[in-house]
Amino acid sequence: MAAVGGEEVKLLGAWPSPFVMRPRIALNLKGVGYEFLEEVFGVKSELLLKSNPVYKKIPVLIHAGKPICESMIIVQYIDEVWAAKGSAILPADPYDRALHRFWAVYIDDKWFPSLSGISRAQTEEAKAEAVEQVFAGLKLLEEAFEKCSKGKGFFGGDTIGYLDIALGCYLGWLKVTEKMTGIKFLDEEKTPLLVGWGERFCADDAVKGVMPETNKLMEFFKVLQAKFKAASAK
Amino acid sequence: MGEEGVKLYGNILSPFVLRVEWALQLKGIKYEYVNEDLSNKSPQLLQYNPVHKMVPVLVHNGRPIAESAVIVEYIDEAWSDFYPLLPSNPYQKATTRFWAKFVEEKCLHGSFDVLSRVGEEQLQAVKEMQESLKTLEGHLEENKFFGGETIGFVDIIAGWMPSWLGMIEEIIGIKIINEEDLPLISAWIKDFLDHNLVKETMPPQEKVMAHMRAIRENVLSAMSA
Repeated sequence: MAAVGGEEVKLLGAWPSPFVMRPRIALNLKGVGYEFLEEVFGVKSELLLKSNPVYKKIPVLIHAGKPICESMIIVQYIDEVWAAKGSAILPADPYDRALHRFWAVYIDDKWFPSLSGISRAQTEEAKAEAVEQVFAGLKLLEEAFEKCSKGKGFFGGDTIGYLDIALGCYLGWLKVTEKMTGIKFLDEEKTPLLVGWGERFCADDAVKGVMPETNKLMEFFKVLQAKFKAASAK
Repeated sequence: MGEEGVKLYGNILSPFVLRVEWALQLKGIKYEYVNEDLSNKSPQLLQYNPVHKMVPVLVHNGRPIAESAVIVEYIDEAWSDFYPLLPSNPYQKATTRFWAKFVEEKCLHGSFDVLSRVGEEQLQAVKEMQESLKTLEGHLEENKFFGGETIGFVDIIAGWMPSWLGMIEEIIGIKIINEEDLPLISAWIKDFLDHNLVKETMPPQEKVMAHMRAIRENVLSAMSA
């Protein structure tokens, strides 16, 4: 698949990973074709080990033979290299860019760990605390949405932007957690703006084909849990 | 974009605040420094950073930005015509951001582990720290600084290491950085500490060391409680 100047674009990844979804959405927004190289679960390919020797993790973007690692760093790279194509991912104004970056860090460092903490919780107490943190975070993100969207449909305005990608990639896992706990995290009464945003995000052309079905993700999660239980029982 | 109304909320004990000061001073930006008493945070700080309630916070023309690395990138973009902190080439920029994130995730958290553990666990943390620094050294190559001939983004993000790791070594009584094992990092530390900007902004070592000793004691007493 050729892109700017005819250089090849490859993406190393796996369908369940929210981090892998991020560069896929970015490439779709830019209308850039790429070869998706799916890693086999539990086995790291030679190409992955060679391209990301530091972390040995997906996603890795390989553009004209050069690897770029870390999902949000890849998203910024895509935005900069293909600045002339598709829609802008980061806003133009430095302050708006700082807001998008700030909230993306918050989502990865604080919010998602509390979400994944729910299924990892050993006690009911720990679980309840994690649930509370997820709700508190969503409340903050609802306010952030109001500020960033300026009345439009996405954090990025009219089109999906950096912060939409940062948060939206977790929607599949959020739905899995809702099903498993019976708790409705995205609630019209608590965070109406985010509910509307979530629907728009998942329905967008750039996202539709790469957002996994909740049931499929659920099955994958059960397989993962079983593997961890077996591994820790040994 | 003008320099009007640039305020930095900070505290001398924070290496994260220093990052922002270096960025501002390298760019020649005039700013007002507002010292925060972290045991008694001002209403302004709580208003400007309600999510984390921490320093540093940069307020530019009344608009606040938090998170040191985010602030430094903001400074680079808002004052883009002098002293670029990040390279303009997208691939080099991505590489720069990658190593800055590596410093944050491996070296920063690693140094906390070294400071807050004892016995075998501490030795293990020291070993992991040394491995992380060895990996980081690869990115330095033969350059004086991570930014090349001059201080750049990664230098700013990693700039706490020369003095803070030295202080940690003194507190725990274990050498983390050996010149034979980490020659390039050792050279970088010397060059970085020798830089005028770093010398001028160095916080009072005794105060920082006392603060770090207190952190270590708090963690250890919480563990044995």
